[in-house]
Amino acid sequence: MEKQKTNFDFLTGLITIVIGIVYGIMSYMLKRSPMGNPLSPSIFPLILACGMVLFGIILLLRSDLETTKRAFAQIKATTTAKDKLSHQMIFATVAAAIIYAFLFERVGYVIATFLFMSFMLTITNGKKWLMNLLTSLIFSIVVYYVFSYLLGVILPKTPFLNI
Amino acid sequence: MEVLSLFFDGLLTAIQPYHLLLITFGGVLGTIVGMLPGLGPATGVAVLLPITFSMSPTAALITMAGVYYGAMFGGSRSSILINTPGDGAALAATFDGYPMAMNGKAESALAISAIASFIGGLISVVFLIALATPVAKFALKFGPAEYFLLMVAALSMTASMSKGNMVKGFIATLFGLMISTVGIDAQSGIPRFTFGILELQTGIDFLVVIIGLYALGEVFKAFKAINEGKKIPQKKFGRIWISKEEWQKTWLPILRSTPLGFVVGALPGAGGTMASLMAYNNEKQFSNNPDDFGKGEIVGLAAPEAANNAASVGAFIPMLTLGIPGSGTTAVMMGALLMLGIQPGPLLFTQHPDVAWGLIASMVIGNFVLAIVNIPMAGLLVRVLSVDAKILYPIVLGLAFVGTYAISSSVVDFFILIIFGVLGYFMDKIKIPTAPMILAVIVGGTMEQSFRQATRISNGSLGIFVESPLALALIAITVISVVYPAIKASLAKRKAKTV
Repeated sequence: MEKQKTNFDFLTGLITIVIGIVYGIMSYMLKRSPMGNPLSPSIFPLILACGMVLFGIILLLRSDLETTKRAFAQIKATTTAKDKLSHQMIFATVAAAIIYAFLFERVGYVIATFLFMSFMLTITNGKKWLMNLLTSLIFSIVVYYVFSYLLGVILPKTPFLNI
Repeated sequence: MEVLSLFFDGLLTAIQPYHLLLITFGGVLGTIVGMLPGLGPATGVAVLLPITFSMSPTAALITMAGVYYGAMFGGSRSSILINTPGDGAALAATFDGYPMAMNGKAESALAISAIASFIGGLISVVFLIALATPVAKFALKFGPAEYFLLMVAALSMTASMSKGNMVKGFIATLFGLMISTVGIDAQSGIPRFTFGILELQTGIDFLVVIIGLYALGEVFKAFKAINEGKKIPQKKFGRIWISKEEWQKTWLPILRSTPLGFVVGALPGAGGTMASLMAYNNEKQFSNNPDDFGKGEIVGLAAPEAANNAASVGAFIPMLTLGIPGSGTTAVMMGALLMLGIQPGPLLFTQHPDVAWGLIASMVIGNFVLAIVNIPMAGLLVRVLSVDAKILYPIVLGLAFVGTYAISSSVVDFFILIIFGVLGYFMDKIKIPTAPMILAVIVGGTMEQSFRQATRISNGSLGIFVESPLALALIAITVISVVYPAIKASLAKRKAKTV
């Protein structure tokens, strides 16, 4: 049996066209320039929008819905437990990063980073607590010290302790 | 010769003990990042960029040159020892490098890759010295219309040569250009595509895009490797050197592959991956025993390594003289220059010759130091690799965040970083290349400005883009870059059908 082609080109083409149209409308809706050609801030974006729609259509015409459907089916069929684990790891990383962003300026660099790194290491390295906590502690303190004192980059201080 | 004296001034600066220390330091860090599976020079430079903040431009450039070379050397280490290339350019090193290590010839493999890289890099720097000034002088003749068309040509070459599918290359390019339009329009003061978010008014920093796509995106992809268990590299080595017979076999291929790599590297979009694969295939055709290739043939490692390093130097020509980076890695290096307030382009060689030649000289020194560091210290550095990727990947993430904060002092950029990290992961899944997008994000601003300058000169007429012979030549290049691969592909298809 011939192996059937799978790709996401149909979907990619659709997304491209939608991005192109939305971006094109937004470009047209931009405020008019008070001087010179009133449309001048919009012209270049409008060209990009047209290009995006054009290439989206080309991609769409060169692919078909079935191939993309098959690609999704194939993913479902061939996803191993390990793949699922990697997806969960990515999801956990994104979630941790968002929390990290919220904590960063509120609890200071050292504490936020210590928490983030401990969590990340638990994800990748497993439950080797001593190793993980030690690495996170050293990383957050060393980076804080190097950036604030050696590189002159101001990182958020820890409240109360002011370090 | 003025050029030579400027170059030697640069050399003298680069060999000051402090600068040598920085090159070595950057080189070791770069090697460690480059050795991590999936992480190559672009990621290395992107993640380690913040360590150069607050350094003087010269010191920063020297450190980055160290990181750049270190990561390239590190990439070939992991190709040879664990069959995992750091980036596309190190892919060819796995073909014969890994079989060599399996045959108990890891020492020769490590040595020849360092030697070939060193020779390839060194000879290419000579080409670079000879070509940089003439190209820069020529580029000074470009008006805004020609400059705009030059960028169109460079982007379309990148898009059409990007791996996979040309249409997707163009989609990536256009998307990158869209990202570059976010923020307050410099000419009219009108905010564009900011969605009312104050922090977006200054635009999306391309360094954040780069760190997101390369550091976060690549780590996301690498999670899979963590779950699949770690490949344990050989840790004990004999003397890392090559035999006389091996040298006799490899010197000619190294010399042949160097100019090839340089030329391919200087073309926008082609870069190290294509250069090393071409060199590999060339040598396979030249060889009397092509069947040995892929089974641990030392020539099959030496040639792509020389070509890869030569390409990395060649890529500096469009970047330094035209302000157009030809590959992901040079794009990151250009980001480093812009960060330091240095605008690469034709004027760089007339306005800041010290910086331009200082960078070129530090490439030479970096190449030299890294070869020295890598040969005797390979055993030690490889031990760093076996520390555990599981610990090093979170550290790369931690550095990506602190680096982002150092760029903008704003956590809003963390969200942009996360978005582009996830985007990088999905773009890989749907097979859209990221390199054209990054180039577009970097040159997008200048491209639009040149376009608008040109149309203002011509009072809105697009005729200015076809007025000069140079402009017509650039349009022709653009058209050929799009049409040629398409024709080639359809011919190949037809051939495949008839067979």
